[in-house]
Amino acid sequence: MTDSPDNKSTTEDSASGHSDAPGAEFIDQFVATQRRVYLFILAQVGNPDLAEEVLQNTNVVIWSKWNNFEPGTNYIAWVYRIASFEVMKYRQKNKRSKVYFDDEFIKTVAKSVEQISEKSEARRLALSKCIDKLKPADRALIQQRYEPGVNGKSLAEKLGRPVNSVYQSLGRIRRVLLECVERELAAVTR
Amino acid sequence: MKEILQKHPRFLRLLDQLCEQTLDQDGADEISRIVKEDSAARDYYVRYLELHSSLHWDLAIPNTISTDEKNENQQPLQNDPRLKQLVESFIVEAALEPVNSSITTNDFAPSAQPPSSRKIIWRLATGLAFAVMVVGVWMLPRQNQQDQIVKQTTPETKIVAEKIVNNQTPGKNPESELPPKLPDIKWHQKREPVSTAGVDAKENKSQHDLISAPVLTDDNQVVAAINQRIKQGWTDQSISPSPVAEDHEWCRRVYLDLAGRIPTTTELERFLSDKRTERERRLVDRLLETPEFAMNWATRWTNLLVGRSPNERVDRLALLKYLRTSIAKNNPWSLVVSDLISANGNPKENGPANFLVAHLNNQAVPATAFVARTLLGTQIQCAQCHRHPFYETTQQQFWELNSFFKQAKIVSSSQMPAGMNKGQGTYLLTDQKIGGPTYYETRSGLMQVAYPRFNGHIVSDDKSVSRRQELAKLLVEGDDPLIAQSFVNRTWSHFFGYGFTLPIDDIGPHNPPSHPELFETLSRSFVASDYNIKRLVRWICLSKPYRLSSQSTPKNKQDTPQWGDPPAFAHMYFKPLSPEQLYNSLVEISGNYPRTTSEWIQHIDEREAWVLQFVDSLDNDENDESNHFQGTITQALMMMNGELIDQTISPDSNPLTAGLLNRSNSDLDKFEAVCLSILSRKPKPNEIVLFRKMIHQRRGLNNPAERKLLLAGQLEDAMWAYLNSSEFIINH
Repeated sequence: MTDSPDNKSTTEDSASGHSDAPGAEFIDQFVATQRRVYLFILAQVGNPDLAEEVLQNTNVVIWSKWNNFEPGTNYIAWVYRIASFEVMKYRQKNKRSKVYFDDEFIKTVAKSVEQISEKSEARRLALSKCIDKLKPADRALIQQRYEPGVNGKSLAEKLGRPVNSVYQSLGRIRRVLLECVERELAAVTR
Repeated sequence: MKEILQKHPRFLRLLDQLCEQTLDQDGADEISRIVKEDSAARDYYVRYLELHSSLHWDLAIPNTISTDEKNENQQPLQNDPRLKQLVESFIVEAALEPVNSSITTNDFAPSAQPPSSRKIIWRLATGLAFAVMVVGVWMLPRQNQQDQIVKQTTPETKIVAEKIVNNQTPGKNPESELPPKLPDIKWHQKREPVSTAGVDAKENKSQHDLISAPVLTDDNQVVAAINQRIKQGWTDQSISPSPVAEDHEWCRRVYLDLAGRIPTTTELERFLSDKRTERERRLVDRLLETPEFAMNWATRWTNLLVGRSPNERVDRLALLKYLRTSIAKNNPWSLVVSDLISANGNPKENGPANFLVAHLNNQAVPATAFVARTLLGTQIQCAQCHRHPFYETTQQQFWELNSFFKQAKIVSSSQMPAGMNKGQGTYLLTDQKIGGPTYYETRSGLMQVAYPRFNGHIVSDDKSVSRRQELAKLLVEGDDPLIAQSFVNRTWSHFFGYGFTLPIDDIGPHNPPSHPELFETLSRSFVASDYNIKRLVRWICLSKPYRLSSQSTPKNKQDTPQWGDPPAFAHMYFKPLSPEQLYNSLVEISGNYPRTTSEWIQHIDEREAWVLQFVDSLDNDENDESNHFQGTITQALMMMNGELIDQTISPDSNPLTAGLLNRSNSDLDKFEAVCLSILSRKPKPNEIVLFRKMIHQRRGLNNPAERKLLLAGQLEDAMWAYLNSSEFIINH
């Protein structure tokens, strides 16, 4: 990217508007951490749709509190704190949901997610390599499974396969992927 | 992974169930157990879920794979119109959220019900966000550099900006800031001005201070004040009320609320055919004088005061009888409160004694909490062990109130002196002649003393002073004591489903009421009427808001208190029937409604037993319980298959169906009668179509006996369907 006039005016805009809109750095951090926050929430609530909802609520809070964030401090830690509260709030509201994890479990998991969260980018790159390495049929299956609005059951219906066999295949592919990711990461750090 | 599999053979399968959302609660518990005890399993769990979320995040978002080639042309992030739009939408939404950063740092914005539009924008934007993320690594260093330059070159802007920030919210860093000094709660007689919390409260504050709440003594004036204040609220929020409810709807509502059951067809028709003015007033006045109103009111308060769970020491029926007599005699609420606080003797004979007998366990801690919550409308139970999180009820204050119950003691039959012993299983509530303070332990382990003190009045701790009698006097003192506020708030919520505060038993400066002036007018006028319960009920039932339809309109859609916003009472809220209301109504439909006193006694006995199937005692420090009656499976199963339902709909036991079968009116009229008796309305066109189809089925049958049998079955089916509709189990 070059220093075109357009770019300059942009940065000035965002600087002068500092009091009523977050700056570019904040937006970058916001965008770059969405995925990590999603993982953080999903590991605690277990259900992707709910995780999306909690993430949205978290985002609303982030944007209402952005001027409380002290630039230079740990952005992701700040966001995790907000997300933890949103998870808590969600859990309080939905104590009778179908599956309910206990508080201690949630705390344990949240802590471990924060720990592995730093390597998230490397893991993501490894994952995309590993998806390429899958057998074409497996790759197609897993891609279809994770299309928006699809789950194992609806996929089985679409393919005309017994639902349990689809569940088994998906579990196997996920485990293959996970092992592959671990291998890739080990290879990089070695 | 192999080690994990050996140790926990089911673990991987459970994880897949979690990913495919087929996991049940047992599975969740097992995952939780394994993860907590095995750190290798924990790591595996987190990685597996990360993989799952990555697959979701990456594959679920289209067009993310091929973005790499576009890197060269990427615009700076904040310049992208779509991202800008996203950010703006979040900021707008954030501004709309009733965030209150000045209360506590932990008080992040309450999560609103996500409007569906947000989801769409968000979906769209995350696709973009991910695309940006792929190239983000590549772009970041440059962005940071630019930011650095911006910071260095425009220091003034930044300082100004920070000042503005500081003006908006005290302190800019939520982590490092201490919560502001909290308002002090007293067992106050004068209300404190609404000064904290709530965006609405801030906006309206000046108004609240200027208008002093008048004490009204004329029924019409109070009703007018309700109408006017509630209407003012609609204007302030720019919403319009729903239309007035249909006559039959209002009639059903007022019967359920006052008589505790749905109206009979005759009662309904009498009201509908009354074309004179003030027919509502006449119906309310008539119902208020029925024994059923007294019974219904007494039932509600018995449940509030001692709960529904059985307790061998508590005689619910004795308390019920006492309350029923009190209201039938039109005794003031203040007298009832005094009786409840200071009662002595055998709870089987002296009804009000049951209240404390139910809660004196555990050093009278539940009694303290119950008195505060049920009679004073304040939640102080947490102050037993620590300072209240929202207002300054100290541990000291909790134990000062608790100290009033120090002398109270339940004596069992074995401990009674011979002359007073009334046999096995009897208990007596007595005052022991003891004095001195109550001792309690602070969190740091220090022993502290608390003397009986309430609302600034210190009562002598001499053993000759009956502390409960003193407390009873203190509670009813003043022209707007907490017992009046709490009672008005609860009574209002009995009729509208919501009180002026959410929750209704959490009144205080930290929780501003939805209609402060009206609330104050009502409670002061209630005190001025000498705590006349029936008049308070009459004011509410004759008000315009109580006459409104329960159907919300586009112009008052946002008046939805279950989302956490203060109620505007722009339409009637749905109230699920209580187990007692449902039982009474079913018995009435079945034609077996009690008429005589002995029938009533049997009816109440059977009802108590029936209701118990829905109640669980929570067995905690506050003697709480939960009831499984609000749309739970237990209730649904009972409604579908319960014995009582069978009795209600079977032509063998229900005189209504039996009568219909033998009457010579048209088949359609018979179905209409069923509908009227259960839903208090005529069938809707689509229901008539169904009935016609059912009638049509019988055309082929020539044998009259067979036709009758089929008709009986069809009427039974129609009843069953109506009873299992949500229209029936809700008071609307």
